Amino acid sequence: MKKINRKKGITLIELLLYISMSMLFLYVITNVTGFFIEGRIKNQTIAEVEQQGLVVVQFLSQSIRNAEGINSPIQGNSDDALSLDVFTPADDPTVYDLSSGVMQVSEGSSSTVDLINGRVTISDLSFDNLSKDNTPGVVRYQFIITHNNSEGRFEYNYSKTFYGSTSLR
Amino acid sequence: MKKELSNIKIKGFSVVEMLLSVAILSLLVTSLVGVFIFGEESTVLSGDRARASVWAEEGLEAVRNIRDNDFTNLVDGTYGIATSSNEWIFSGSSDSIGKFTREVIVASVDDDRKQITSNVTWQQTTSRAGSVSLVTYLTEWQAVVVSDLVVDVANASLGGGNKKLEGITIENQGIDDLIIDKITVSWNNGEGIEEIKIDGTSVWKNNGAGTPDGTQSSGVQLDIEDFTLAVIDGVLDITNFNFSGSMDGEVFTILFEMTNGTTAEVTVDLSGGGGPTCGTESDTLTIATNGASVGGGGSKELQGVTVQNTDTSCDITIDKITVIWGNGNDIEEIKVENSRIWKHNNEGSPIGKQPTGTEIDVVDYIITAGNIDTFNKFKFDGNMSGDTFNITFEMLDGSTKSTGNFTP
Repeated sequence: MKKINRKKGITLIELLLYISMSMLFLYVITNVTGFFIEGRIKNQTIAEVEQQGLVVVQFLSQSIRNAEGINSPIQGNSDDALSLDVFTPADDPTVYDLSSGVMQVSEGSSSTVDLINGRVTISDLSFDNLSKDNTPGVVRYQFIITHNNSEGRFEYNYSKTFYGSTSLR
Repeated sequence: MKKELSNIKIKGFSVVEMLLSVAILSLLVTSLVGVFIFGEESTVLSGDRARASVWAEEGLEAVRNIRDNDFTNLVDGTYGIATSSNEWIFSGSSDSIGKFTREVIVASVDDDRKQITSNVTWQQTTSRAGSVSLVTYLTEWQAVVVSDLVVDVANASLGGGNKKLEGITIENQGIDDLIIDKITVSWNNGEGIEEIKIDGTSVWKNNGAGTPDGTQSSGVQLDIEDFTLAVIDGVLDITNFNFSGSMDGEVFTILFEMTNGTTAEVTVDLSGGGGPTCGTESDTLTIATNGASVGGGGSKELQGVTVQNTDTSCDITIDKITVIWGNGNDIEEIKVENSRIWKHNNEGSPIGKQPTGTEIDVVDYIITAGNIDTFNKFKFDGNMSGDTFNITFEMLDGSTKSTGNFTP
């Protein structure tokens, strides 16, 4: 009898212990997994913003370097769009502008092409023609690129400002 | 006792096991989380670095535009860049945006080349600084407008009742043909130009070839009938420039403009019948030794000998110098107006330290008309205190002048 009673008592405590331990374990596992998933998304978000920003900068600098002249903004002025006089007649003029947060380029009479994907938005785009007299010209551009985040979630909250300048050659 | 002990033993063991497993699990989780956080931080840092590079490049591009405006804008130094009146300018010693700080360093490679370095630094974590450094080289490409057209005016003279400027020759010393597009002639009197003939061909005439029509006054750009000057043509005569009256005693400036954008300008000075007549060079050279002294480290230098060109229109060129002194030291170096004209292992000849009385062929030194130039030093390889010197200068025309013996 004594022996049986003792065994039952131990089993119950053991059971409670096991349950509480597995719950604790599950809780920790769930949290860690959640943290990893959230972190992975945040990582993707940061990479997306940085990469898309660089893509825009590279498009702009390549076009400006190879351009013949700057149509607008004119010397000493700023604008939210850039129009370049380029050598290839079919691509003349090449215009960069913003349409509801999407950076676009149009070459000659071709229809506009989006430069960025739908996961990011560009704002506060500005081009400054800072050319000195009697020079081929130089354009400074700056813009803010933000990851789309309609639900206001932490992991999608990332935004950066890009500054750059390119001289015509 | 035995049973109790064994019971306690079993219970105690399972608690230790549990603690151990929790500890191992937490260690594992902590390290995994650490790795993950580190990875995320890396993504952020690489983003910072990419944007810093773009911003550093802006520094180079801005300097490029400043160069495009004028190469002389690039003065060696460390600068920040800024905009003023909507133009890029150098400003201060650095500039900042957000956490990034930028400095642009301009350094000379040679007269026509500059090395531009754009450094961007930032604090990437509390303990580590990030930096990006971009380098480019900028050249004064616009400076190379030296024309292949060589104009020789040494034999220029007036003929045909002093109405014709003759004896000027042109030569194409380049590789490609040159096309002379425009000629502008300037002079002082009130006469007009009527015709230009090159190699017997009339390329501009008041009632013929080229534009504008009519006799033209000084300084008018004459669009001549394009004259092609091939390399194989060698030296060609500009037969003459015909004027409406006597051009005796005039000073002409002639500007040739080629179709490739290069220009060549020459001055023909016929005032005083073909340029100023210069006398014997030594006649207008005055040497002063009263300000001379022996000094420098170890009293090895004779300093402060001055030479004056008393002529107001002719230069004097010093070709050779002979120095005589008393002791057995050798001469090492001669320096005038901070330019070295002879050194035993460098400029001029002969090579090697020279004893007293040696004729030294220095790098030709021109004393401009009216100037007083000072010899910084005649340097010897030993103490020259109390010695007596005698310096003889030989000019390019062969004339000589000596100081006579003097003891500084």
